[in-house]
Amino acid sequence: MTASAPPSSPISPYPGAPAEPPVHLTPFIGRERELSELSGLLGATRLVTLTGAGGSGKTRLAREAAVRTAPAFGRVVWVGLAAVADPGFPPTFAGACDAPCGAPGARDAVAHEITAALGAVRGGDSLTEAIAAAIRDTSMLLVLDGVEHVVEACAGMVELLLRACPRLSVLVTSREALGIPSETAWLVPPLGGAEAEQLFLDRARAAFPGFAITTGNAAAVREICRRLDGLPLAIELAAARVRVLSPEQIAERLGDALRLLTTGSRTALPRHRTLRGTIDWSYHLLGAREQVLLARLAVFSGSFSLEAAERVCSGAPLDGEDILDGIAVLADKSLLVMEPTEARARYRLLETIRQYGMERLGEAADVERLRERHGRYFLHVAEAAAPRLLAGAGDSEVMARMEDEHENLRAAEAWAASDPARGAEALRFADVLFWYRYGKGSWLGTGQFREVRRAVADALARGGAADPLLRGRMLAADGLNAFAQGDYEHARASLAESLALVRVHGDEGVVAFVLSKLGAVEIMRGERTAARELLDEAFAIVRRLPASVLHAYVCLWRGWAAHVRGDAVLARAMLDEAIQHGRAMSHRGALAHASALLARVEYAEGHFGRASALLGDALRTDLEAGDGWGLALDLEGLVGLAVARGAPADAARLMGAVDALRERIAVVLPACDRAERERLLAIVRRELGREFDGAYREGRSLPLHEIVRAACDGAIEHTAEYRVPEHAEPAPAPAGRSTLRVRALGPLEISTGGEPIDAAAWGSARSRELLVYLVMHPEGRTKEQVGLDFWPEASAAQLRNNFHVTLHRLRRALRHPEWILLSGDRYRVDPAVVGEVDVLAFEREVAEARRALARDEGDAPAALERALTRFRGDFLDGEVVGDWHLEHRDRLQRTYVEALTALGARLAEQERWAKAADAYRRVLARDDLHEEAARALMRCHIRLGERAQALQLYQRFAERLRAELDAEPDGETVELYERAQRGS
Amino acid sequence: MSDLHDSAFASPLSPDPCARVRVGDCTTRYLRRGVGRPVVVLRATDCDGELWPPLLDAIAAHHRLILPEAPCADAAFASWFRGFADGIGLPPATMIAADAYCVPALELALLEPERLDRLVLVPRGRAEESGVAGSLSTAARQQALPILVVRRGHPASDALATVERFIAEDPS
Repeated sequence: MTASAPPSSPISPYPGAPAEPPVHLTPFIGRERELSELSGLLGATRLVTLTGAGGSGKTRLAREAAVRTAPAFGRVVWVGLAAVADPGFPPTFAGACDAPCGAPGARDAVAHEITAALGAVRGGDSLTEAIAAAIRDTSMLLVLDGVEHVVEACAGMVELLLRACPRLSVLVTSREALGIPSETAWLVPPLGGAEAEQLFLDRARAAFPGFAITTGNAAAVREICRRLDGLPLAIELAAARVRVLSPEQIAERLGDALRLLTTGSRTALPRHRTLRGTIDWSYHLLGAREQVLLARLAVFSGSFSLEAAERVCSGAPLDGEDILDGIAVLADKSLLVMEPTEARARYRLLETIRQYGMERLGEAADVERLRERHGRYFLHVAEAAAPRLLAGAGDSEVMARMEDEHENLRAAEAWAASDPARGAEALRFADVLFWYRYGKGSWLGTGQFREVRRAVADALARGGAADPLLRGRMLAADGLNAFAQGDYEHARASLAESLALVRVHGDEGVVAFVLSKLGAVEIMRGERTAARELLDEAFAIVRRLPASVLHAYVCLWRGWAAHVRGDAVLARAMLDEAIQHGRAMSHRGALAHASALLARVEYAEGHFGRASALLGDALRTDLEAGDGWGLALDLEGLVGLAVARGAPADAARLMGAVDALRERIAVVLPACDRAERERLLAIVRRELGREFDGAYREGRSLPLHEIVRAACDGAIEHTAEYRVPEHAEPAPAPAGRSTLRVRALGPLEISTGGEPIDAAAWGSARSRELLVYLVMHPEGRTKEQVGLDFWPEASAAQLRNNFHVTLHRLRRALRHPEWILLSGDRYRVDPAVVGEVDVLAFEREVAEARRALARDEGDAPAALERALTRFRGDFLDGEVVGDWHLEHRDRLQRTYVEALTALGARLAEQERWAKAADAYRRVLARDDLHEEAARALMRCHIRLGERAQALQLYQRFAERLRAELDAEPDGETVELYERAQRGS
Repeated sequence: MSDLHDSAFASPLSPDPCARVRVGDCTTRYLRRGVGRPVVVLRATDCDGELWPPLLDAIAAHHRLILPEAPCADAAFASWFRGFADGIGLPPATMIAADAYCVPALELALLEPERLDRLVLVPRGRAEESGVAGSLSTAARQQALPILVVRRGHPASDALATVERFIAEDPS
């Protein structure tokens, strides 16, 4: 029996393929014998299906098996299919839905998921053929996880792929076997007694760190595991209750719950009924609000954010705070899992629990209402993100967020499309998702041009009577897709129709956009005059508009048009301008594409070195961004350079690589490049003769990153001039944006934009405390560091959950979630937005003033006095916060006292006795046993002729000393007192 | 004629058309054809007679036919079937049991009725014994389990029509 931490995955998909297996936060327990047997099976047979009831541990076992057997395969690709479902036929808890499985929709959906994971798209082939072509002779383990609701679709596809790809092995997890020849279904056995108890112990400790199996409760734990048939999910649900129920109580109550299910049956419970009973039991232990929340959360496909949960699931009887708290409760009870992400927390219901929740939602007759809320929320999400997908910095961040929501967006879009009455919503979805999909289409290895084109066509067909501007935008989208795929006549027709609509109904930006794309189409069609007129008009428009990425692309296309016409001067000017805009906005696409085109201008004029440098930068940028369209542009440029430097074999390999890439992302060689390609091809064929085919094939088969690396190493002069800066420190915030103000010396005050944050906005005091904690650590703190300081008793799982809930509340309270940065594994407050933190200012100013005091600078005392005014009281005075603050409080108090003492001493030197006395009084107000201050204050009184006060001070001080420390004043103090008594 | 009869399980010259399911140390080969409600057929691989080829084809045309290479009927049948059904993820199914599997199938219906939605028994018989339909009540089942007994030996065309009608009825 072993328990291992989640291993780092040796599974490495091709660049860009998001086909990693899921990472689990909890350790994998035991299963050594099963893993060994599975490894043997995977070596002996090409299709293994792990079967078993929901919650039997199929996915975890498949993941471990995939990781362990990965070295035997050239590549392992993980495809999660649980969220692939016809929204009209959600799978139910009891089992698979048969009706839609073999339907074309299900087949397409499965094929699409595999295609996306493989990064395999070809223009004219069926998706299944495209997948087979992408795998071909690759030694690969394809893992299809959660296929029970699409068994028929998967069965046909897997059968075909196994026939077509001789080195492919497939591992499937499903409640139902595929039932095709060559399959070995393998029923995942229950956990053995010792492993089950180990799992119980591990999960119980996650819920309650102090839990241990003792002689007193061992029998109860054994009984629980026995009753639960060694079913991992059931054991986890039971173990999650140890915080409030003893194992004996759990065994008793579970026993009652499960006995109800066995009434009348003489045999053991089937395992799915055991799980059902356990989920029922766990569900009924929830509060009424958490029960409602669990059911409502089932409406999400895949994972979801806290914000999405709040927006979709709130409403009587739940308000926003109920959602946050409820999620924490459900996570505590193992009914919800947190995704292991370093950025914003995301949660997921296990598929089995989600199906259970969906049944409960159905019982509450709330499915349609929740689907509508879900659909409308994600329409809003997509509409908010769409402009940033084209316009400027942050595009990759937005793409990543959209990727996170991919399954929800697809479900929401399907909701809109499922009812003709929602035609307007469907069209809006198609419009706003276009840029996401278009971006994905350009992205290396995840081409979706065909899907995009179909979605756009469907939307246009549905939305005949739609808002004309919306229709105009969709026509532009349609034209752009056709353009990328080389269908220039279709592109021209759609863009022309779009232009007519947006000229009437759109703003100037939209008009300029459509004009520029139509101009690009005309370049490809060889209509140079038309291209120039369209692009001149677009350019005239964007010059009147604020700078944007659109400006960069208009310049780019205008430059390309000039290059094709042979106008190198205008081409260079336009492309330079495009590069400047791209660089100013850190827009990698605009920068790299313009650089690649400027390289063509340089190449045409024989400036191969410059062309080489530009292409090198473009290549690196496009590779970083995963921009397949751009990479094709760069590699095509490198073909010419390879020929120019007399390296025909390199040129042949590059041709192979760029052709393979274009096929994968379904983008054709631009028409205006075809003649040049033919010319180069003829030269290379002539030079290489029979060796051409081998070099070309090699280029097609080499992983793209190797081609790029070879191209960069062998032919490109590096230059940093055009590179997008990486990890640049944030520029100082413009005045007025530095709006965060934190005053923590004395009563805590936090404001943004000059306005205090409303107390109710924080949700809990801990989110406010977290902000102070982070500003006190400007270098950032890891989640674990925060956890140790905030929740030292919590388990790792509780820590993660608490942290993300608190962080979420903090971000929401600030109303600027982006102010909390994640750099590496450290969270910190964006320094560019911090206007004032009194603690930091206090320490800095005191230190500066004391240095000035040491240098005997005349205004040093005044500067020190000003600095000391920042100390309104102790650090976080009156706040109920964790012990982490004590160190800071003590240090700041010490700084304050020492500074006051130094100030008093300097004032005394200057014989400014009254002011010095005031300084010492303030010291004694903080520390009434500070003998040096007491003595100094006595001297001040004496100098001021206030001997009676000096004597009284001594007497009070001596009494205090005796009472507190049972000590007497120092001899020096006593001597001063006696001198005061004597009047000397 | 389809590949569902006679040589379906053992053809050394052609690729194995069977899927396998492994439960513990027991591996069972089976054929699966068609789409729809599942129908499990239990019969000896050397089972002869005119009924089977057209019946299996008819079932596969409208249902999901599951044809396992069942162990001897006198082996621990219930235990084997439980593992087989769980291993392939079989939902409640119609079972057609022939000859020696008739009694084990009846026992299964009594022991674990939730695994079946109807039962067809095909024992040996004579031409004049057409068969009988009825239902089986168990303490554990809310509804009675419909049963059809068809005599093997009865004209195949008549028996086929009877079985097709019976299994086509919606169990719900």
